[in-house]
Amino acid sequence: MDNKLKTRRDFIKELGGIAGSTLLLTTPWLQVLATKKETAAETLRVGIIGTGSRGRYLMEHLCAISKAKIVAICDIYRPALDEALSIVPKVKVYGDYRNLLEDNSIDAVIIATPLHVHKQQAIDALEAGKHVLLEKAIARTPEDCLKVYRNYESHNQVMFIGHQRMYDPKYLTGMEMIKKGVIGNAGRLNTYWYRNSNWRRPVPDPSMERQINWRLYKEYSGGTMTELTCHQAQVGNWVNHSVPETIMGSATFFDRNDGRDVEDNVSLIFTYRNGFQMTFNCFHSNKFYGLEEQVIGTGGVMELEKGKYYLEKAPVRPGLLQLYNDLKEDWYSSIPIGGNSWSPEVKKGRDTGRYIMGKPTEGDGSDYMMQAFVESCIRGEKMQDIVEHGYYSSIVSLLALEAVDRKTTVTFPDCYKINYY
Amino acid sequence: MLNPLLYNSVEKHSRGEFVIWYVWFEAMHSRLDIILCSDKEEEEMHLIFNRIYKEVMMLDKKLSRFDTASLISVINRTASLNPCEIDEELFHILQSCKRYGEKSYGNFDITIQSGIREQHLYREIELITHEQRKTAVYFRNPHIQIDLGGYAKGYTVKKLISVLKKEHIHTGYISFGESTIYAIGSHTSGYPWKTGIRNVYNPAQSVLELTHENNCINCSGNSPSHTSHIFSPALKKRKCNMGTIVILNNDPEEGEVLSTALFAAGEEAEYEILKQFTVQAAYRINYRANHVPVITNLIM
Repeated sequence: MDNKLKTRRDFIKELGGIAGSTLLLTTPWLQVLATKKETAAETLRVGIIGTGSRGRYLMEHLCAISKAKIVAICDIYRPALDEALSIVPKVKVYGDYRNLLEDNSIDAVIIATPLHVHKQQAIDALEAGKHVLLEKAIARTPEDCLKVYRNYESHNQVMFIGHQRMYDPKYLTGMEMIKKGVIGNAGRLNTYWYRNSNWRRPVPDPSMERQINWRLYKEYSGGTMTELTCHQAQVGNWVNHSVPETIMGSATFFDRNDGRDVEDNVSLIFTYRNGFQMTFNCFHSNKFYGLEEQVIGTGGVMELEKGKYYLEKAPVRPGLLQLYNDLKEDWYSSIPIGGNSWSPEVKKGRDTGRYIMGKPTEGDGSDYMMQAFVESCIRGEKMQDIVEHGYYSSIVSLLALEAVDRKTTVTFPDCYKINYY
Repeated sequence: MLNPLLYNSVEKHSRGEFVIWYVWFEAMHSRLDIILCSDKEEEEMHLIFNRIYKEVMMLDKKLSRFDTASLISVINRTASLNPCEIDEELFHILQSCKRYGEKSYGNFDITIQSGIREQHLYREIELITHEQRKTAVYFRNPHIQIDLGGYAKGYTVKKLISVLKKEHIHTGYISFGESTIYAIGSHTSGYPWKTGIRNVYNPAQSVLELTHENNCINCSGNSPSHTSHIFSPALKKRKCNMGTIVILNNDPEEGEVLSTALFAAGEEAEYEILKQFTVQAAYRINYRANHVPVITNLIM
């Protein structure tokens, strides 16, 4: 991984200078990156609970941030700890997260453990006075998600849920463009995740199968729904600024019938208010189509993961629009209109699209998310909306799981609605 | 009603006793923007716009080489096999283009896109008139390709102006591809319309400002996004220099021909070509290596 630190200034630059600054100021969970405070001398001491692949990925980002210092790691699986120690050799090592939480030298924890233990670990961390970055999904059941959320509400510490798209410049800019109507009225979101991996990790001893391959068993995980769909649910809720009214779906075992009890072939439909629909399709035995979130509007399509958008028709020319607007006001001015022949910006049936950021971008927002988390913790400022997004995307993905398991259409229950949207 | 599937945008705004209309749609691999100010009823304006649309689309079906089903595309595919029958309008267009070719000393040439390898070959288009007033076109060289790119927009605008005059539209602004811009009457303020010519390196900035009233601005040239689409018959190669020729003329058709011919010809031939045409203003805009524009008035 490229450990070059991206700064707040890089973030503003990537978002497009002045327009980026405005976006920062108007996006609640970016406030900590929008404003500058002198915190350079301060250091956030972080403990990592769960040093599996995701935990180590976040550790790499954390190591690039000068204001953050990993001081302790915790895992119940020794090989995972050993791999983490190769990144941060001189840290305290715990086998029980409760001992790590008792360590007063730790300000914040990152929880990247199997889903079924999220609830207790998150609540215990908040009770212990730690700031928390909790990997999605929040918990294994909707009831537990609500418990974690209520707990967060009653504490003053910072909490982040690992939805890195909320810090990815192309998503942030793309969402702003959707809000401004660049692709017309958004009416659909087609999402898919095609991959060709069996999701299985090597097990040194059969007795450890469920501990290591926890994603494959519904006792510990919601499978595709909580581990993958959760991200698309967050994007769907973000586009709509609401949660779906109903969810239906179907899931089958196609090619991975190896004792697991989470399906590998999944189709879901989420119906939002005003007729907006989101679909999610996932197949674990072919990666050709990869991952994408396609927002379909009346005037165009935006592919958020690719960072591109495509218009149905050529956009209005600024000079002629200005002339029309000036005429409306009876203003007489000279406008740059004339020039060498215009040729179509959108060729019928052949639009190859344009990049949301003007060019291809790298990264998925994890680096900026980690920076925002560190800065929020140092300042002790809770960031608005990020936990709410995490909460609702977790609930939606768990309701999708319920729809699939019960083979029914699930209506979003009022009991899981919070004071958001 | 204006069919929203045909028009990219239809906007209107009432201002006192008249309404300002802004309508645009795509045609001829380009876009036609029409701004009209009129006190006519909405239904009457709809009929006028629909008539304009129909007229432009008929010409698109005839003249656009970007449409594989257009008459010009059919001619390009078949006229070397057998004489291809054409209607009276296209016959006159091809006759006019031949005349413009002679007037411009060959610098306006609708067969120029026939391909680099064909430049030394015989590229004469034979226009045939039969008895019973039938007309046809025939290519002796099978590689000939007609491209009316330096003509069709001007011709179309000329036709539209005559339609609008018949409809008693006295105030408006028509832009076809932003390179053929006709001012109908004067601006609503009573002054002539003012049009800025864009800097090719900074399109938000004008390098030249022209006022016009019942006449047309025609521009031809290269820009960073289209670096070599004009072919020089004299030099037998594509013109790659950044720059724009700007012509102010009463006749949009002739203005477009002249701007194309002057850009293709290059500076040395400008004077001789200009002598053959009647123009109100002509400018050459070149750019230095540091992108600073240099404007030359060609009829001083």
